[in-house]
Amino acid sequence: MAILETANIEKHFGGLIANRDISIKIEEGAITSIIGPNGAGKTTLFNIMTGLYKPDSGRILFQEQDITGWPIHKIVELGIARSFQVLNIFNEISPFENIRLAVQSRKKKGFHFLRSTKYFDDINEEAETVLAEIGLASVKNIPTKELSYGNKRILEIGITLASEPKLLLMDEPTSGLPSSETERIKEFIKKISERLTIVVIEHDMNVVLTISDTITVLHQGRVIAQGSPEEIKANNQVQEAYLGGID
Amino acid sequence: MVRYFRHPMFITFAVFLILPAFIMKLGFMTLAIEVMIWIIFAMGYNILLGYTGLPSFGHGLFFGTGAYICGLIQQHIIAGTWIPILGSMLFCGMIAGIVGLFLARKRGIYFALLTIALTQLFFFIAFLWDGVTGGEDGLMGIERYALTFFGLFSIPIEGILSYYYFVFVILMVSLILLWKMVHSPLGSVLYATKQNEVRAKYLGYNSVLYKWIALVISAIFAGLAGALYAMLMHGAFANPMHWTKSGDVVMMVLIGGGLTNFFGPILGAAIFIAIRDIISSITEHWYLFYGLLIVFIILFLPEGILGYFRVGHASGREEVLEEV
Ligand SMILES: Nc1ncnc2c1ncn2[C@@H]1O[C@H](COP(=O)(O)OP(=O)(O)O)[C@@H](O)[C@H]1O
Ligand SMILES: [Mg+2]
Repeated sequence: MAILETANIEKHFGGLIANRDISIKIEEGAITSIIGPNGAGKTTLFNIMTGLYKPDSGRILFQEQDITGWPIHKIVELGIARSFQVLNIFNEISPFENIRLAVQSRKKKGFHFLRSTKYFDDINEEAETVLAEIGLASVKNIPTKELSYGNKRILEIGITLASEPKLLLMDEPTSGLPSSETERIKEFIKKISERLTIVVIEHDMNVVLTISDTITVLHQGRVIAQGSPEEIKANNQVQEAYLGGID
Repeated sequence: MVRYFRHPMFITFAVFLILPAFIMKLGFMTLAIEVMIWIIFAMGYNILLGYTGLPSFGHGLFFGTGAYICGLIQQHIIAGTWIPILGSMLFCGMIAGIVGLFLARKRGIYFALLTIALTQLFFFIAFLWDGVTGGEDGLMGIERYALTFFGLFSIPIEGILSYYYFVFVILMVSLILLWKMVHSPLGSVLYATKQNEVRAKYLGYNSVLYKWIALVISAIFAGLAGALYAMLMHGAFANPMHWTKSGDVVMMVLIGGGLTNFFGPILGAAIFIAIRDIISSITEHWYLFYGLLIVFIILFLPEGILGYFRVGHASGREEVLEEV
C-alpha cells in the first residue's frame, strides 16, 4: 500500500520548471531513494510534499487523505518528519533541548506555561532515550553549535525520530560527511527503516544501491525512471542522464 | 540556601523592598515606582523581543491604552482599583489579539514598521478623540482607590508609600509568573521559534499561533504597567504612544541585555529612567546623551550589560542559578 502519493505535481519558479507532472507512490515500510543531478527538483518535491511550497497544480495524498495546501505543522502532526539538505537544527540550545522540543510537540504539551520543562518527566525520559539511540548522550548538554558536523547531522536525524513519524523524508543525509560517517548514517537508516517508511534523497550511489527497495530518478523536474536497484542500474536512459556508467 | 539568596530575582525583591528606607526623605519615591512599572512593562515586552525575536517598536500603544482604559473604567463603570487594572490588561490583550492576526505572520523589518504605524494610529486617535480621552490635556482625575478584598477589609493606596508597596507586590507576582513562563514548555517553543522558525514548524509547532500568544502576553503586561502608571500620575496621556516614545521599552531591554538574560530588562529600565531623570534635570537635550550611551553599548556591549557579564542565558536553560 502507498503511504504517500503525489498526483501530477507541477511547480514553476518564474520560467523555470522545477517539477513537471510528478506522480509517484511511496510504498509503506520500504526505503525509497530519489536520485537525480543537482537542480533536478528533488528538494522542491520534498518541499511540496511537506507544505513548505504549494504546488501550482497536482495533489498530495498521505494515507489516502488529501493534504495539498495544508500548513507544515498540520502535515507533521499526521506523522511526516523531515531532515534537510542544509543542516536545520536549533543552534543556540543544547542537543537535549533540540530533541526534547520534538518530543514535547508530539505529546502536544507546548502550551503549558506555568510548569518548568524540568518537571515533565515523560518528555525528558523519552528525549534521553532518543539521545542514547543516536549516540549523543555524552554531549547532550553542550551548546549544539559546538557539535562536530557529523554529530549535527545525527542530531537532526534524532530530532526527526523523536517525532516518531510514520514517514521520514531525508534530504541528502550524508552530504558533506567523510566516508566513515557516511557508513554510520547508512547503517542507521537501515536500522530505523524497520519501524518506519523512509524516502531519502541521496547522491552516494553506494548508499543508494545498498539500502533502497525502490529508486526514483528525477531529471529536469521529471520522473525518468522508477524501479529496483537492479532495474535502475540496467536502465540506459538513467545511465545517460545521470549515472554516467557506474560499475 | 546561599544560592537562593544570590539569585537575581531575590536580589531584585530585596532591593525594592528596602529602597523606601533610603529614598523616602530624598523625594525619589515617584521615580522608584516609575522604575518598577517600567520593569513590569519591559519584562513582559521581552517575552516578545528577547524570547520570540519579534521587534515591536509600537508597544507604547499598549502601555498608553492600558492607562486610558484604567481611567475610563474608573470614571464610567466602577470607581475601584482591581477592575480597572484587570480591564486594562484584558483590553490590551484583546487589541493585541486582533492586530496580532496579521502581525504574527510578519517578521523582521515589516513587523517593526507595522508596529510603529499602529502605535502612531492609536496616538492620533487618543490625541484627537477629545470627548473620551481628554485629547491634548490627557485624561485627568485617575484615582488610587483603596483596595478592597471581597468587602472584608480594605487597604488605602493613595499615599505614596502604600502605593509603592502595592506596585512592589504586583512586580513580584509579575516577575515570578514571567520566570515560570520562560522555563515552561511555552517558553521553550517561543525561543525555538526565534532561533529557527522553519524547524519549529517541522517539529509540528504552529509557529504563527505561538508568535500571536507572545504578542498577547506582552500586551497584557504592557496594559498592566500602563494602568499602574495612570494611577501613579493620576492621569493618562497620549505621549507614550507616540512613535518616538514607544521605542523606549526596546532600549531598556537592549541596554540591560534582555536578548541574552532574563533579568536584563530590570537593569535596563532602572538605568534608562535614572539617566533620563538625572540628565534631563541638567539639560533639555537628554536624548542626545542617551543616544551616545546607546552607541557606546552597541559598540562595546552588543549583548547589553548583563549579556556582557553573562549572568545566565535567555534560553532559560543555562542559568547560573537554577533552584527557584
Ligand atoms: N525557492 C526557489 N525559488 C526559485 N527557484 C528555486 C527555488 N527552489 C528551487 N529552485 C530551483 O528549482 C530547481 C530545482 O531545485 P531543487 O529542487 O533544489 O533541486 P535538487 O534538490 O534536485 O538539487 C533549481 O533550478 C533551483 O534553482
Ligand atoms: Mg536538493
